[in-house]
Amino acid sequence: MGDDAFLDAFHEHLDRLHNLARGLTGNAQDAEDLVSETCLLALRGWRRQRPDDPAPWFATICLNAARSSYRRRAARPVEVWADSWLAAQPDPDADTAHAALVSLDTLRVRAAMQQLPEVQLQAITLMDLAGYTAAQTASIIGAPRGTVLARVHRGRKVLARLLQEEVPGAARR
Amino acid sequence: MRHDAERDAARFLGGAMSPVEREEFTRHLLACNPCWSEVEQGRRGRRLAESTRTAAPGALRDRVRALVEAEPARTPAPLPATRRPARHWLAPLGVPVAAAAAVALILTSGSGTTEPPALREAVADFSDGQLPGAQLPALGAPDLSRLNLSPVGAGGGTYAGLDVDGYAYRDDAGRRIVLYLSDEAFPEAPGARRMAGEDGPWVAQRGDVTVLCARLPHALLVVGQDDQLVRQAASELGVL
Repeated sequence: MGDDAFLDAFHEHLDRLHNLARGLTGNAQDAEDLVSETCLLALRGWRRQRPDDPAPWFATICLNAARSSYRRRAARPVEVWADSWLAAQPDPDADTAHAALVSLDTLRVRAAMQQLPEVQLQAITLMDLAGYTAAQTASIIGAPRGTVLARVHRGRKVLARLLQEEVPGAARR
Repeated sequence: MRHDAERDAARFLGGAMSPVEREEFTRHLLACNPCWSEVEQGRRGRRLAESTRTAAPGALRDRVRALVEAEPARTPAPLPATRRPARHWLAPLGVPVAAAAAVALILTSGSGTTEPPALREAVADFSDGQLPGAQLPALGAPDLSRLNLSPVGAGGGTYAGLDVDGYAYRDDAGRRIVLYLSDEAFPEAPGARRMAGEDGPWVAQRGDVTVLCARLPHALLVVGQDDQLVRQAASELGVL
């Protein structure tokens, strides 16, 4: 039935939505809450009218929900920041098989990402974490493709500068 | 050679260059330190960001399934229980629009006059690709499929105290419009041009953004960069 089709579609895109939420919120618990909120909003929308292309549609809903949460949380930014740094234990959002990959380096990268301006964080999260193309990202955030590429590039440069001593990839493999 | 290293590197890494451009830029990189450095930093940053990817935990998968199973299915009634009194959006459109219908197409020109805050926020959110908020709108998105416009997002919030639902659409060519609906009238934009009658549609422009405001039973704003598309959407909705 309709809800089964929805669940199949949502599960199919769960990894990328989870990465999107993880990048946008900066911590594991908020990410899971955001994915859950996205799921309910999407389900209600799906029941009214099934989208032509679920992947960017889910992302748009997730982004809108995150913006709302971001505004709610803006009065207490310290919590987000401290949470990123203090999570110095294996990431509870990872399965056992992946837990070994969640190194301190990963936590440092995640913390650095939270220092990015919101528009750069959105662009990087959509493209580099969730794997959306530049064209899809442009569609999701409603900005021209050139603007998206500029935002993602500037954000990547900031990350590279903030984590000068990191050897990308080497710590994980 | 005068060039913008950051912009070129962003386009290069983003795959936005033509094959010819790409080949030229690749050659150029070997001789240009600023461009080389831009590309290297961009690549490093991308690898760092990608290194944080994880698979969704199994518990989240279960939680999602439980949420879907627990969410009561609504009847096919067009108007679910909502945070506001139900507004009949589509129904009146099937009826010949009465004289009360007023459409305002606001084409605003960027200079900062005394723009009503609600309009300024609507135009700014359109430009930023944001919706008024994340609340579930009371109604499904109006059907604009005859214009090849597909809904890509919807959300309700407030603009300067006005409760507003926003519905974002996009067509195959990437053209965007957003419909804003409110129970209360939108303020008229300074410099707006009436399209018909003293109570009729009006139109104004801010920069490259076109806004169309109509009064059906509810107030309607149509905002988009493509003037013709905005007017077509208004026409499709029966208010022009």
